[in-house]
Amino acid sequence: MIERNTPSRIVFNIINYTLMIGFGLACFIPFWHVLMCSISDPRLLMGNSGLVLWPLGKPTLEGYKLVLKNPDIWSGYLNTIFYVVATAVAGTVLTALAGYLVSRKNFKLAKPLALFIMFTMIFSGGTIPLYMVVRSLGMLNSRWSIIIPTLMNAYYVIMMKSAFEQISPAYEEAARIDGAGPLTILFKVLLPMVMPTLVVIIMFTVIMQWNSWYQASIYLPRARDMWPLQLFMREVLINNDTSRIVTSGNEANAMVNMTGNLVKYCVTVVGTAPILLAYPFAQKYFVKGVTMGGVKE
Amino acid sequence: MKKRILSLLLCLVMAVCLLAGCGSKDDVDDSELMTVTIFQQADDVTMDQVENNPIFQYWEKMFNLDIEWQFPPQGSEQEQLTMMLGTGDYTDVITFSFSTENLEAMCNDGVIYDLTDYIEEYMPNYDAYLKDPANADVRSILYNDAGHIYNVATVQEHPMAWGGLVYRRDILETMTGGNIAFPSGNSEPTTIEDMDYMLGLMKQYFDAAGMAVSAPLIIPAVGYVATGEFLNGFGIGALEYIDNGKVKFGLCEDNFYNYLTKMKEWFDKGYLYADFASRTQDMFFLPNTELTYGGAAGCWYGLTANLGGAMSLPDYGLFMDVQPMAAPADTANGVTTPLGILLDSGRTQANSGFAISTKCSEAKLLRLLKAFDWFFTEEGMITRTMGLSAEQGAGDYKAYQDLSLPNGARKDGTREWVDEVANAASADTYDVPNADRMPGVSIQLPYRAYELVDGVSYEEIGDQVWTKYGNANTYPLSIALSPEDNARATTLQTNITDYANSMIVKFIMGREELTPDTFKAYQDQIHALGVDEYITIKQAAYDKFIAR
Amino acid sequence: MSVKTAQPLPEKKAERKRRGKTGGSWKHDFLMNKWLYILTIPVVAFFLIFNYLPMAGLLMAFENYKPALGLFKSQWVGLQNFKDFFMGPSFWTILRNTLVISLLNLAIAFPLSIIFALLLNEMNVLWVKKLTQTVSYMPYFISIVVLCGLVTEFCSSRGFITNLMVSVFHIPRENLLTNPDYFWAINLILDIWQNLGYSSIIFVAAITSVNQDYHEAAALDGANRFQRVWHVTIPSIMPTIVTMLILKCGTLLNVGFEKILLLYNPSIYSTADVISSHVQRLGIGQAQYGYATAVGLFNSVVGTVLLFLSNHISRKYAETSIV
Repeated sequence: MIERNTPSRIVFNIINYTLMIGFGLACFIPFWHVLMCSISDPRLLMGNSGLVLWPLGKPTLEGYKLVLKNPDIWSGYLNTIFYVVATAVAGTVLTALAGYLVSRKNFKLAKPLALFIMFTMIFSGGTIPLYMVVRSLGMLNSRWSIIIPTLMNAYYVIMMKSAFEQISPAYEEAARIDGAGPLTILFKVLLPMVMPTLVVIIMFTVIMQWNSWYQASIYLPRARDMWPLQLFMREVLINNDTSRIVTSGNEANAMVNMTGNLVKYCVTVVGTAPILLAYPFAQKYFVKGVTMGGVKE
Repeated sequence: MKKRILSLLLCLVMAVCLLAGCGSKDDVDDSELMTVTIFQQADDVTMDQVENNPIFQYWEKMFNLDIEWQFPPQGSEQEQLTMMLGTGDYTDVITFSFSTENLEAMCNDGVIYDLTDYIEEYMPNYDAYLKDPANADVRSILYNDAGHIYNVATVQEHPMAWGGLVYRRDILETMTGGNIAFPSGNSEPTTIEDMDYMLGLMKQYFDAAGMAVSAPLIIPAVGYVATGEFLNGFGIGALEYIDNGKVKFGLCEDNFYNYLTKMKEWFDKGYLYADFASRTQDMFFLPNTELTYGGAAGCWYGLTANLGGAMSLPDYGLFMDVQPMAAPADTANGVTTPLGILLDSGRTQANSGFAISTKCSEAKLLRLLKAFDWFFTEEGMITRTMGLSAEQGAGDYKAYQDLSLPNGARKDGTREWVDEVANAASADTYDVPNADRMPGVSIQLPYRAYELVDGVSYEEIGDQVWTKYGNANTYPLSIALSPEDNARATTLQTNITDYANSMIVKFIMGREELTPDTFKAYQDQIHALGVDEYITIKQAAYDKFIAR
Repeated sequence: MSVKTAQPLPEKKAERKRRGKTGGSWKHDFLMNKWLYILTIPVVAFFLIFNYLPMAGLLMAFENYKPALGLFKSQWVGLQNFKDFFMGPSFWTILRNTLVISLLNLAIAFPLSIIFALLLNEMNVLWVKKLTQTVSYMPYFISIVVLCGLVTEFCSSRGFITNLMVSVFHIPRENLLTNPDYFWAINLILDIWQNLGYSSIIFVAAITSVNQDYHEAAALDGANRFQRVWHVTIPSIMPTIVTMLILKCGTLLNVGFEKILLLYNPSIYSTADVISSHVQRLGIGQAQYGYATAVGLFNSVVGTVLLFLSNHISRKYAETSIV
């Protein structure tokens, strides 16, 4: 579409770009601050209370050495990637299926099913009973315990439902007349049309699984080799918590304490950088979604 | 061939120590290898350190045991324990030392064994240790009112205070040119007037240094140190404390008004850290490590490890002389001797060490008790705390080989380090393994060269100063309330401290006017929140404890 | 207005009418939708196993729950836990704080995330748009501990934000986090800053699926940019907006404790203490499972009521609903 550049449009653009870039900066600066702190001189970092826009003192990789020295970090990365991929693939298929079912207008079970699913959004029994369920399914200390219980979640089903409901039923009917079954209709016809929502759900799932450590801490007590990255990261953080270092007797000296402070920042970078770098790839699909969503009637 | 000789040697060593260490209790058969699962807090120990711990290996071989440790992820200890208890998936051995569970209740609920009778029959050394009159204090903590015991405890031979008030003496030296003149006439600060003098000098020092953020005095976010430092000088404790056999609650005592007045005065003068109230994420003992380690604090709650020149950073031109101080007495209001309140009130804790779960078979229980009993023999104690000696075959273990200590860490049959360890220049040189994850007695370690300054250790100096007024007024930590009382007391305490803490900070910062009338209203509100019921609960438990 | 005819709404109405006619018997429905019934099985099984089975745990709310005794042997105390909660000395304060914090978020942060998505859509320089979007969700990834550490630092009496506020608004110099009057604002700003980019993703996605034909039709009718946003984009993403709004209403009482615990301090309990932080603080001394579950159940019940209420209202006025 061709846009005319009216004066008001230009004024709007200036304001808009200023606002958005300003907000973008506000979001970026703290991350930059963390990044710069992570390579700062630990001593100068101790006394500092302002924004760090440039490494304090001579840049050092001391903190990263300390974090990456831990061999668990690497197995943690691999485990996390496995959990992320597995949950994203299986979870999205199931969520799409559930969303499809509850959005069918001429399916009598759709509404009761929607209520059945929504109820779980508000009421939950807590961790202990869930643990017992997971245990009785024999999933303790196995990778299944991290993947299966998180496959579906009411929020995503509802999001999927509202996406399906925005598609004109004409497509589905046309496909049905061509002799397509429900699964074919769902995966071949409807799913490509709700691509943006699907991508959002995949992204949320990926982010959720990337950041999760709590489940692993409960379901994998004897399987350290299956722990995800964030659980190891948490241990590094707690181990280097300045207050704990100081209390652990002999080893306490000023240098150790300072490094602990530095490690806090390094852990943040190591734990988040990969997923931040992966985002531009997901972004590509938003653009793709535009063309697909805009299929001519 | 080499392997065979090695194993033969090990067998020999084992045989020797079996004879030497534990005497003969042949009623427990240990010919068969037993696997034991232990739930233990990881703390700062890595799996590698546990799996390659020579003392564990030595001990496991001795009793033909195979220990499988289960360490919860750090930071999720209580959660994992709850999960384990809630689901019945107990390990054979459980540590409760970091949780608030009541062992008696655990036993009543069928989670753990009552060890009272077993100890008499199968743990001669532990039994003898507990019956020794010298250890009456330990006994009174571990046995409950009905005379039952549920754990194989961890006992300190000689506990040391590990923290208390500290001050930067180097600042005073600099400001007075070496002629520090405390108004009390003492060589260290002992009264509130001394504090006024000291904090004034510190303020001048920091102002002159042009530091952006600094604090002559740091107190925690709630406005007082929970262990009672400073408050003791005003003749009160923080929460509950003992005064002539009566339980009192410090935050609603009349003398608390004097404390608040003084803190307010210091806050207004800029002596108190201006942002103390917002420092919540730091642990209550260490309100601001950035300031203390950055050289921008004058007086705070510190630890043994801070004392002397430990916090100096010569590379950065920062030199600090940190000295311990006892609670300063509020002589202006007639308090001449501060109360004696210490954080750590005993040599052991009611929940310390290991409890044996009911998932453990009786045969396994007996073997375990026999094995744990060894840690209460003289040799067991030394080995547990200091490690293996040459006689025990230390040279065969990888840990000692890695440390280049072929003769182990200590001399045979003594409480002395081998020379290399004793003369170590820093803590990092020889990080010698110990078995303090196990129950048993922690002996007083001989000092190593780097721990001594002019022949004295800062641990001892700190301990002397911080425990100067004794602990007669401490409400013993090991008093366990009944589960119902505990729940009620917790609720009351939360309600009271929520209110008190928010008011204290407001009083100190001047958001709430501090007059005898407003303080009276504050006291009335605390009574309305049920402080009297709280005191009654605590008093009843204390009376029972004393009667043991 | 002619633009309106281009909206998808008329289709929906037709759909609804048709649906009314096909309300046949279950047997007929089963024969018609045999495959759908079969596909329902795994979905129902999942929620039954991982969500409904554990709900037995809600019994804890009525018990003096002891982990060692388990769910079915712990002492039954009826409504005692609820009584303790409602009669607690700070019940009204924490309820008010929770509602205020939640409603502020709903009234300001939520619309902002929609506006952000719309403004983003108006950016034509693609790389700037992409970059802005990418950085906008960065704060979501920084550990909350580090984040709150920064806020505490910047709001201290000599901090960067305090300096700014003192010089611009001439407020007295003090630690901003010790003044109860400022907490709601600080928390809201932090909330917006941390979550705006992340929560706008769903709206960005919805906007990208708006049919371009409608835009072109509107442009031909002479609608300017603003009118097109108002009459095409917003109505098209309305179902998404309403869905998110209803979901938010359902969780109105669930203000997380993590951030609050890291930011608050005793001097601002009066405005900063919320239900979850209160429960958390109470639980530190002794694991009070029953009490915590009771509070959670109370939140759930209130959430259900709000959810159905907002669902009902939206069905009536916005013609969108989630059930």
